[in-house]
Parts: sequence; structure tokens; C-alpha cells
Amino acid sequence: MALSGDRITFWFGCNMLRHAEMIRLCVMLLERVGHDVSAAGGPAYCCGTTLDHQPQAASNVAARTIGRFNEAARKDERETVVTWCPSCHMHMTDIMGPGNVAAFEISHITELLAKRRDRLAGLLAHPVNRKVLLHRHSGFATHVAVNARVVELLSLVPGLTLIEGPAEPGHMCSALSASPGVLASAIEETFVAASTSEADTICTIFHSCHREFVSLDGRDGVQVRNWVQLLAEAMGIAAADAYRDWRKGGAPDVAAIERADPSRYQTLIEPELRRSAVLSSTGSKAPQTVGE
Amino acid sequence: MVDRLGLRGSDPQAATVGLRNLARGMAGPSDTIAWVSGCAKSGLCVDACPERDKGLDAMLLVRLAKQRAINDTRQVAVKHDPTYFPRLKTFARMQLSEEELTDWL
Repeated sequence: MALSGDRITFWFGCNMLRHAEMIRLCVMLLERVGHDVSAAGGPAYCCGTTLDHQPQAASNVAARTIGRFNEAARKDERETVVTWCPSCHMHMTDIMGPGNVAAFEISHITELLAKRRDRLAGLLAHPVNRKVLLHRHSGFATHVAVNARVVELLSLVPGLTLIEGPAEPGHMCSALSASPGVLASAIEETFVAASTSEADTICTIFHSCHREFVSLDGRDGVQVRNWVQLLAEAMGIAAADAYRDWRKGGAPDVAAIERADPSRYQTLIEPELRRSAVLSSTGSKAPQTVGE
Repeated sequence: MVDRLGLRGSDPQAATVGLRNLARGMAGPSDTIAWVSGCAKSGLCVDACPERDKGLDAMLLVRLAKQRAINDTRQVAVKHDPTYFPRLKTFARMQLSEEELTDWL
């Protein structure tokens, strides 16, 4: 898809709100390669993909989101909407766009960064001495060659050895939770591939995969990192990952819980943070969160 | 996924006829329901579809058929988590600054 303009809207979706540091890293990466970035996401920018059971509501939220992006294009000259989430991207391309008048182009963040790979390469001055297995899915290739783009980006990182892992079904891990055992098998297969290839790091591409894998960070001596965290590392930026720390047993600081409201934290957040990792045979198969 | 969904050995003609019927709002056979229910958006059906050159996007057809199966024929159960957005908003409040909350959401 044609890329245009330096002024962009970065549409990070809904579930990235679990991973605030990763949103900030995305914004930083896009800015460092020359884009003027306005970030947008959360329920107010819902694509409607989780509302298949309420078609009219899905249509309404899609129209509202398109309207906001149209306004950003018209008033703020942000004529490119840059996606992170493959569900949002596919939903925009297949459902939202054709059903509404869109005054913007859509592109994926990996496409934009790859387009400016020369600028990005100049920023990656710090060797990242890791042997990295890339956790991939076969889906989303219908819309964006995301696996190839991430390989292209990580190949710019000095010191990093990259191995392409097995291509798991679906467009990301959340898509596998509808079929019992499939997600657990995908995770297990990825860890086996990491062990076989003597990788010390598994690299996730999408948030839903990251959400599942981080609870197993450190298993068999293998760390879990997202591709934006590895790029940041190559820029000399230590990428924090609060969600990973929380899933591994760490507690959020009291101020964060107070900001969120302790009762909401206890009912909405704590059960997710304390659920068992998804394992194929040795661990529990806890229910997955609904959503992308 | 074919094995996981118990569709190995299924009649592809019957399953795809069922898919077309389901997309029109008519009840689909069990194999078609298993297919659309378990669809993980791998996109493999797009290249496999013999009608692709005529402009048919099989993955989109599966998506539309699933929506029909949820809302019209009621053959696929609704998956709805009422805590979905409240949970995400709470994660946001835990991690985002006031400025980010205002500017991004």
C-alpha cells in the first residue's frame, strides 16, 4: 500500500492498553524515523471486531472511529492511519473502510518502519547479543507481509542472530483460543523450537502473543521480548515491561492501583495477572481472555 | 486446524455449499459450523479457494458466515465478555499518565 506524508495517526487498538511501554516505544520509533505521530486507541477508537454479536453497534462504533480519523485527516493533515493490531487492520480494510467513506490510507507500523529502514539502521548502534527465535503466525499475510517486515527490521540490529520459528495458525495467539488445546500447542511448539535452535530469546510480533508468552519468560532460560523492545535495546533503551513483571508475580505499585481504583483492580485485573500460563501438558489450561 | 476441528475427511463441497448458504442467512451443516466457529484467520482459505480469481475473498466470506451463524441462525454461541472494555480502561488508568489518557483515548 502506498505510504504518504509524515503526519500520521498511530492507531494502537484496544488490547495494547495492557502494554503502555510498547505503545510509547512504537511512538518513539515512528518519531525517530521522521513521523509526526498522534496516538489513538482504546474503546473510543474501537474497530468493532469484538462486537460480531451486535452488528448495529459494531457498525456504529466503526463509523465513529472512521469519522475521528477522517477529522484528523481533514483538520490535522494526518492522512495515514498506522495500525499495530492485525485485527484492527483487517477489520478496517475488509469491513470498516468499504462500509464508510475513509479520507485516509491505512498502513501497518512494520511497513512504515521498513520503508525508512535506512534511517532506523542509523539509530541502532548498540549490539544486541541475542539468539532470537521469531514467533510467527501464518495469518495476516493476506493483508501485510508482517513476518517478512519484522525479519527485515530485526536484521538491522547489530549482534542479533535471528531464527524464524514455526508459522503457527491464525493471525495472532488470541485467534487460537476458540479451539481447545491449539494455543497451548502453539506455545509449546515455539518453546521447543527455541530450545532446539538454542535460542535465548523468543520474539513476539503482536500483543496477544506477548500477553501469553510473557508469563513463561525465563522458562528453559529463554527470555520473551517483543520486536519493538529489541529495536529499543539496540538504541540503548532498556525497555521496561510492567505486564510481564506482573504476570510473573510482581505486584503493581500502590499508586497505580490507587489510580485505577483498588476495587476495579481486584475484580478486573488481578484475576488475569494471577491466572496460570497456558501450557500444553504440564500446566493448566486456564480460560483465555475474550478479545483480540 | 483441520484435525483440531475434526474436519479431516469432511466433504469440501458440502462444507462450502453450507458456507454460502450460511452467508445468506440459512442454517449451515455441522461441518460448516465447525469451520466458521474455529476460524483463526490464518488466511489459508484465500489461496485455496478456486473462485479466488473471480474475486471471491474466502476469508471474508467465512467472517460474514460466522456473523450470520451468531446473529441469524444462532448456530454459533455468542462470546461476549462484559468486563472487556472496563478491564482495558483499568489497565490504561494504571499505566498511562493523565496527558496520555487525555490525548490517546
